[in-house]
Amino acid sequence: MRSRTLLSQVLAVNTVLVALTAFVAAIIARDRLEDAASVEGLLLIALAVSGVVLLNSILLRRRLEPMGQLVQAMSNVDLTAPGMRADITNRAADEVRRLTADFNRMLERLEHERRESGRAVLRAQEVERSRLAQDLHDEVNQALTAILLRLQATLSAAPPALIDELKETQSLVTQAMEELLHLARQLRPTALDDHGLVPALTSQVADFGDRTGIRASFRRHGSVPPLSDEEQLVIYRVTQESLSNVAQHSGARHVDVELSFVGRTVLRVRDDGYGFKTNGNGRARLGVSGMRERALLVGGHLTIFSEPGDGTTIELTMGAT
Amino acid sequence: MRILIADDHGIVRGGLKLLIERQPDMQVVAEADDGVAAFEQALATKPDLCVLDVSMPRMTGLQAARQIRAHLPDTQVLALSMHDDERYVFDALKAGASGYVLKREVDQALLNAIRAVHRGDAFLTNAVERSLIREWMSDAAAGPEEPLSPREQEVLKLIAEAHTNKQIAEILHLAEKTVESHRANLLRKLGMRDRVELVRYAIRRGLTEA
Repeated sequence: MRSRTLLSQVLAVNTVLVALTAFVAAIIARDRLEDAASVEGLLLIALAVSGVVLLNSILLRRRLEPMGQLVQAMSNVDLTAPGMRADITNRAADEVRRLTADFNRMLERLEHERRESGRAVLRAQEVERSRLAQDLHDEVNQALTAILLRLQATLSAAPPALIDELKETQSLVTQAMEELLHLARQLRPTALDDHGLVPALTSQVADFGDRTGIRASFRRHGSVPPLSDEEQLVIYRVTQESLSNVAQHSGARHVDVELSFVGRTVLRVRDDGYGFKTNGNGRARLGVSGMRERALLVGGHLTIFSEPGDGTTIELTMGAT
Repeated sequence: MRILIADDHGIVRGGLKLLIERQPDMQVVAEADDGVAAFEQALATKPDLCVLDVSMPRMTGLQAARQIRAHLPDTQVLALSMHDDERYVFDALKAGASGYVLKREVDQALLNAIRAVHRGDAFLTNAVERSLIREWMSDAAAGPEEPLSPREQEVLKLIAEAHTNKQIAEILHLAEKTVESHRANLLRKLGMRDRVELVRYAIRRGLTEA
């Protein structure tokens, strides 16, 4: 059976069926009609027919199995876990193989599109954030600087009764400036552009410790491989998001941030807080889906390990380096 | 005490001037809104002290500080900055500034800093000292070596800000030929092909704003 189209297979099966029928008919025709109507004759016919049907169904089922597998593969596809493809088996008919190949190509295109549009969204988000940060930094903070200076000038000529009040106002302005600087830094990691990934993470973790009172440490293992801007940004943002979760939800007293370049690039943020029950693989919690999406864009993978009472570890793994 | 103030934000200059002029022993003799103007004004007025904002167009405050210190050794420089980042502090001190004041601490620190620097002392605010100590204690203390000479950095900044060779030559008081050879050297040293890559590098190095 060289040709493997469904049509030819069904035709072949039917040919066999007709041939068998004719064969049985010939046997019956050779005997007398009365004998044919006998019990043995009827049994023989019934046997022949059921044999033919059985054969037919076995053959067809085997032939149609690849189709069923393809349908199963199609319903299993999950775009948040890309890379899944339908298998092409050698037994499959030409149409099924073409269909499978086309489906795989379509998946490829879908995943590509999704990656690209995800990247575009992230890029646009970063641009917008950096514009905002620039405005906060350049406009608002400069105005606040001027206010500080003017208050100080006023202070030297102010009546004694107003001095405390003016000083309080100054410390409010200073506080506002610090908050704005912090906000601008969150929005746009200038340290990442200026000094590179490791120093940027070092100061992010140190700032976090200063701000929250949670003891935070940063360690690096291995030497930094060349990482694309996007990969660095993902590592930075995932650290940021994880730390903000630690501050808001974990009740932790310590948090360790670890960046390892031994073998693969792995970022690990581990706290000693309450922890929580991970449902399945810890999906859709605390901005986790956002982190997952980011990780996906650079071919990374995000895993969460947590048990109630046993802290939480967020692990970002990037492809082999 | 004769003081020059340079900041690209008019409101900040206004505040600086108001506060400084209110002191009986201080006087603002010149104002500038970028690094090049600061250098030129300094040459023209020979102030005792320059208060320079670190981030300014055309020439950063640090580049201007280097020029001023090279040409006017008796003029002290105080750097004024929004950034408490250690690298900026190191760079400022290397460029010849004797003090570094954060803008958010300007009310408490500015006048003390001006007086200290004028006396010939160094001055860092508490927040700056803290971040320097943190830098010392972290393992990332040794940053990458700066591959470019100060002059090349000046040319790079102006290239990144889309000035022509001719304009750059005028601003830096150089021959156009010299600017051309600096440009070629920059590309060679950094292993880059065109202006676009130079601009990216300049932004990354904090020489110019994005």
